[in-house]
Amino acid sequence: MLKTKLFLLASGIIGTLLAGTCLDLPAQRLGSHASLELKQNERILFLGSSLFENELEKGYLEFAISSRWPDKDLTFRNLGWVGDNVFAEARSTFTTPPSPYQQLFQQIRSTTPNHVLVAYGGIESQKGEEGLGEFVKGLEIIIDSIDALGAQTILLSTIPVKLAGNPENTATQNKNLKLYADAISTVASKRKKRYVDLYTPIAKNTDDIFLDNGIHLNDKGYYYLAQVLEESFGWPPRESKVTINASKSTASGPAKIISDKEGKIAFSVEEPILPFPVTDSGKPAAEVSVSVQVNGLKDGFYTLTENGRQLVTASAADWANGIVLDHGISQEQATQICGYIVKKNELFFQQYRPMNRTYILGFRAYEQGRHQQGLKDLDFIIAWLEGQIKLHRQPVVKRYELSPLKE
Amino acid sequence: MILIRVLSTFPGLLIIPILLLTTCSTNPDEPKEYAENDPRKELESFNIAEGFEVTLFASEPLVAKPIQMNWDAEGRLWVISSTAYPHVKTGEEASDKVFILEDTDGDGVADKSTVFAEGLHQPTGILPGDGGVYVANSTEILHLSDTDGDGKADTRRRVLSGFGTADTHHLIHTFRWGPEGRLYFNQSIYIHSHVETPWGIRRLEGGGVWKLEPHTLELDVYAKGLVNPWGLRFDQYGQSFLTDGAGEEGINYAFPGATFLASPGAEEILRGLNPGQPKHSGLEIVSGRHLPEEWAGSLITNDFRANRVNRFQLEEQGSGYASKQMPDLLWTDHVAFRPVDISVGPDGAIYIADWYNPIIQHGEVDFHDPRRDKEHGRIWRITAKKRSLVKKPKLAGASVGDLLDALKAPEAWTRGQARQLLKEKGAGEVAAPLQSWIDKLDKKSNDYERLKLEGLWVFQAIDTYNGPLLESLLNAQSHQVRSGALRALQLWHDKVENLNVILQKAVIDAHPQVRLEAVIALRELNNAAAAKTALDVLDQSMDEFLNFALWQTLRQLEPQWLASLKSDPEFFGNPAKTSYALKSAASMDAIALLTQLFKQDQVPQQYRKDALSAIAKRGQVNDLNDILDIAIDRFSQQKREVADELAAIEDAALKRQVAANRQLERLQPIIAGTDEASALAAMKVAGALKVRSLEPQLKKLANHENRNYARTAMGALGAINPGAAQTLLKNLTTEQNPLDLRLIAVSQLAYLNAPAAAKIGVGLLNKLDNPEQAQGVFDAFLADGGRTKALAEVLVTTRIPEEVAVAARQHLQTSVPWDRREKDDVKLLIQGLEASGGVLPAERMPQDLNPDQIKDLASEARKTGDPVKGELIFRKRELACLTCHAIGGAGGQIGPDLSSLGTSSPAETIIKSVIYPTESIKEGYELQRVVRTDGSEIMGYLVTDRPSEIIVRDVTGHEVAIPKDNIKTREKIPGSLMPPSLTASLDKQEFIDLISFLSKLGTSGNFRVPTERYVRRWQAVPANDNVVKRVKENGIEAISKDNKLAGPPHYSTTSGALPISDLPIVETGEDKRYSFVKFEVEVLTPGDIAFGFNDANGVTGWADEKALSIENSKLTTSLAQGTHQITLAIDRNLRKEGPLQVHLTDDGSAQTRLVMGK
Repeated sequence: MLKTKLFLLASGIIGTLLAGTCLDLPAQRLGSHASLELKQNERILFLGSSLFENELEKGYLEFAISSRWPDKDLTFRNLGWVGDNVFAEARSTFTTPPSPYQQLFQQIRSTTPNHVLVAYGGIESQKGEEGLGEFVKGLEIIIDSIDALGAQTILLSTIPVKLAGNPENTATQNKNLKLYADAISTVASKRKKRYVDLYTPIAKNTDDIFLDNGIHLNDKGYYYLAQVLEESFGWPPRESKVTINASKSTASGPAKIISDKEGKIAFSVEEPILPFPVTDSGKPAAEVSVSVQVNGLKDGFYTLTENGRQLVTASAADWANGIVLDHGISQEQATQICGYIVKKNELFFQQYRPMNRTYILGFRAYEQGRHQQGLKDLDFIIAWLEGQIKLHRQPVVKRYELSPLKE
Repeated sequence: MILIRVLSTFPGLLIIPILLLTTCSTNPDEPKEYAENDPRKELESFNIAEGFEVTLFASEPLVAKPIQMNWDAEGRLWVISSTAYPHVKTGEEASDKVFILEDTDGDGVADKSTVFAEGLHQPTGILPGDGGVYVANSTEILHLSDTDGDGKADTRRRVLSGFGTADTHHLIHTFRWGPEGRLYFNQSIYIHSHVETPWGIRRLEGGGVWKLEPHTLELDVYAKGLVNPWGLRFDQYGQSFLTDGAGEEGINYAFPGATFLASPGAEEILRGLNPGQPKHSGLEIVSGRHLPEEWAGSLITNDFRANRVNRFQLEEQGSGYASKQMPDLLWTDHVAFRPVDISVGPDGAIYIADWYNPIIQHGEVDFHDPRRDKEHGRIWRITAKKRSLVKKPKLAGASVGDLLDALKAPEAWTRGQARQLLKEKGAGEVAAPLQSWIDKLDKKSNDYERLKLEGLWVFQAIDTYNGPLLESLLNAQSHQVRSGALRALQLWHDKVENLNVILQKAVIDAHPQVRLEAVIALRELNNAAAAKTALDVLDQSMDEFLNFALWQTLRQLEPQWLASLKSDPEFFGNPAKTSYALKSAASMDAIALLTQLFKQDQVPQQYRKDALSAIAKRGQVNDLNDILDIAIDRFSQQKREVADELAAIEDAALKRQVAANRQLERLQPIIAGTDEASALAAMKVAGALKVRSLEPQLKKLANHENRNYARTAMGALGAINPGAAQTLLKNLTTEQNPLDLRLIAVSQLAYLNAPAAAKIGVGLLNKLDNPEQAQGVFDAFLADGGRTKALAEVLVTTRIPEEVAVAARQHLQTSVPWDRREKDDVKLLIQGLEASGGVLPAERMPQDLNPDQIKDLASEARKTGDPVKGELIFRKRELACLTCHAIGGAGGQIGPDLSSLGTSSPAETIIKSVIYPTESIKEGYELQRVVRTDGSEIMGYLVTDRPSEIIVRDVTGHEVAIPKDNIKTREKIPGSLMPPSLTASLDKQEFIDLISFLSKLGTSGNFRVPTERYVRRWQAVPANDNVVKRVKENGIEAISKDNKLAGPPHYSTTSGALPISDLPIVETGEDKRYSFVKFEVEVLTPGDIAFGFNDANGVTGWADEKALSIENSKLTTSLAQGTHQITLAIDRNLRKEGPLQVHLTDDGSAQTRLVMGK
């Protein structure tokens, strides 16, 4: 991917970038809450239905939070369960006790969270107005139980659907999803909880961010969602701009000039946090990356290398406009972290929701209960993977050289 | 989360013979001795039905651990495989595979294997289609496709997710295309699925069949229930059938909404067509030109436990089918042959996926036990000798015209693939040619209507409405086509005009199968009129399927029709229909209306029992008062029996605390009346409702010479006024009263004042004529821990006769469940009995064995065990095996049926189950502990879980209904109702023989339940004075006239024989000696019926009271619908010993089932 390909730059020019996905996040979305600050060793829990279970595929949401605090050892657990609602219906098993509700609370407790992102309401909304009262009651019970643990609840709104079977059903479902989103917002105000409106930004986004089924987000959707979440937490965009003045040998932003002679400019960049990773569906936007603007170059094409590896070749005019560094070492590092996140979450999934649950944890545990040890042992691998994430989440200092393209 | 890795596969071509040569050179001296797992060894072990032969199609490494298989249009066999099953080890990653097997040179042997995809996680279902393949991958359904043509999946789409994984042998499975292009698949009992679809959340908890439109993602539950249903097929008219790998009813007939056993919350369920039959995996319906004509339409399925392939023949019966088991297609004693899927292939031959594993237990044997096979797997191919194979049709790439013509093929394989390809081509290309193909069909052909139905299904698959075609099929001559069209109509219900008119006509169709579909389709109308129309089905004959469907339709439409009925009581047109609807309803309002109807005497006789039961379960105080009025009135006017009405009142009071309260003293004349049943029922009501004014009357009856009266009166008095009753009961235990009355009184006293009763009772134990008289007394004390303790405390200080103590000690062995054995009260009781000499025979067979000892015993059982002797030990009454376990459906229903125990469990496992019964529990035998709100407790197996009540089968085999309102807690607990130490009294050789017998069960020969329908459950008439007297007075036919004479159950041996020498002999003087046995047969549709005898010499028979003739060892008669009792008198001067075998032949016209069970 990073071989000596000539990257043509129309898409790299700042300002023309991905207009459709530009975030439109008015400041008031933060409400009365200050920007969310996470502390050393805190545990963040994702609780909800498909919105969180499907996040397990790529881990973008977790990456967004984890990489934002490179000096804090944050850990994450994802209890998203497709089809779940505030009554924990999807957590049912052949045996009671434990009831689905007991399972849910046991699961929440066992993860000892400090912050719980709660994303319910999507399934419940299918009951329309009629089910709203019960939903609110159920949501408040969950908030109570999180309060009881001394953890912070962060309420996420529902998200709209793009196409739920047919237009008629889509309209009905979205009407209800909005109704429930508003109800969640009301509960948040009443209970003084942080509320994240996902409904509005997703409804406004005209890109292809849904899976073929029309109701769940695709990878691109989660990528976008991660940015929505960052902004709603009051966190500034990840973008950082480096401006190099070739004739004056000066640099602004997180860059330092190392040398500037014979038309070759060498500089280093040390970003405070990692950019978002490269996705299958497209290159990252400027908002989540470092971009470099070089002024004062003579006409011609210039190649930028990163730690000795060719990265981008562009014309002096393009460099003057600015180039997004969207596929370098930092992105690789971000991709690697996402990989660890996905693997770690896969193991946690196996641990809290094991196959053959009936025989290992359920009422037939007297037959295969010995394998509970195997589930516990997964902790070691999970801890090792968390160690890897910790090891790689700090951006490294990189050396760049910009030199004229040799004809 | 699961990534598909596309890696290199096996070398392109592997020729089987070469492969085998390289693996079998272990023993050159004995060419017949192959390595343990050599496919040739397995092949040699096969027995096959006459006229067929079996060959190897593929084995490892071409394929491993096949779980399901399906064909694509190119004739390639897609196989889903899991070597990770049953459980991935910690830290390891599953990399399970999709294999494609091909026979490129057409020699009947696979010569190419491709790994299409790997990196799957315990996948359990596979179905090619829509340009790729659908795969069940634990929580999700994937669609994998190969876009670059290199033969490997490079695209992965998650179709749906949210399927449960709580048990990996229950994960979603059995993917099949329905005729209309929908994808059907099953899940099993422990799986709870919650699936988000664009149309809303869909949930299924427990077993069932899903139906998916893969493009629109419309997902519905098609049928519910069953334990582990790994078989599903549609026949040529679109009727569907299921098999169950853990249920025990053979073939199950399914239709939309069909609900079977083990479905959580189901109030009504359907039975399978072959009760007591083996459990099956996979299902195929035979069709095509290669297999013999007489096999067409046969259902073939795998008894994987017993290493067999079974065959069933269906016959239409009412709205459903009767299913008859035929001789097996294939059988072997090779323990690793585990046929799990079965399919007729493109060449017309039968293909069988052999999972190949000596171990099939999921929970009972450790997930990582080294004996589990993880590498082998075979596909076997069965062909009919001397019949040409079907030429493999070239469908892939064929034109629309050719594909349409392929719909005419006699092979279901070809038609199904053609439909699928036409579906993929889409409406634009197919709709017009399809219409002209239909127009050009030969109207004179026998297949004309069925082919039009094929055409209709293609229209449905390409989502193109065709009203005229549908209408013409709704009016077809063939009832199968009419019902197929009605099923199709359900899919298009929102497009059809005059739906109500069509269904009004269909519901009174001449054929019940059509009426059934109409009753189901009426749910789509969703209004009161639809319910009214549905009830028109009652104008013609009904059967269990129609009754179920009508009940379900009425339940679904209840809010609508109940509103109409409230404003217009005549809404349904006649009281019979109104009664039927109301007794089917769930709401209290409906019960109030039903009670009024009952009051007006408008509920027809055939619904009275159901109506009363509905009122008992859901009626309010007013309703029950009305029932009381009715009972009083009817009794006084006509002196007729009113026990059922009174029982409903008692039931409501005891179970739901809904107590009738209107002038209860009116019970007095009923108690005083001459009808025993009514009088007893009235006394019970008096007790349940605590009617003090009746106390004097009851007191007078407490020493009634009819002890039923006496016992019931005592019980009622105890309930009404415990203090006064105690005094009375104590008086009744005194010396001036007869012993039997004293014993009854002391039993009743136990409920009121256990310490006093214990003291008196123990005194009485010294006065018995025989120890059996004490059983009732002991039972009263044993039922409750507190009472047991009271009795125990007296017994430790007071001696009783040794023989009584011994009998009591033995009785305790079988009547106190294992979980109470370690309780202090029971231990103290044992101590007390032992103090009087009530010790059990010394333990001869050690009951605490270590794994090595178990292994040695298993080995000895194999080497020196005598299974024939073992069966005799199994049948010994004191071992009580048959009290809880059935063989071939006959015997106790508390534990699992043991018919194929030996072929599914290694001897070690069997020994462990006998010695430590709690260590391994079959699905469906999970022990439930239910604590009622009054604190009382019951342990047993769940039989039915209905919305308002559960039914639990307790340790004695009784079914106890517990209203959910009365349940405080309910939990499944580890453990078994099987008492440990049952075999302690056996000597070692006897134990070994018993194990030898158990581990032979299901294997060939005399230890396999034959497919013939032998009478297996009998009642033997005891040789007591009463019986002798009757026969002397009225001749041997007297026995046929009195049902009460029958004694304890007897069961046939595994091979279906009743050993005559086991039967009591009634000596009636003049050297006349007879044994009498009775059995029951259920007649579903009336007609002629015939029983065949191995030897009818000396046998005389009656059906009910009608004498029958037996000629040429055959008894023939004609019977009406219902359950009938057959009585046989066996002249013991002519038949001193030997077996008596009686089987239900297929000669008669009646549709019948033998009554099995305990």
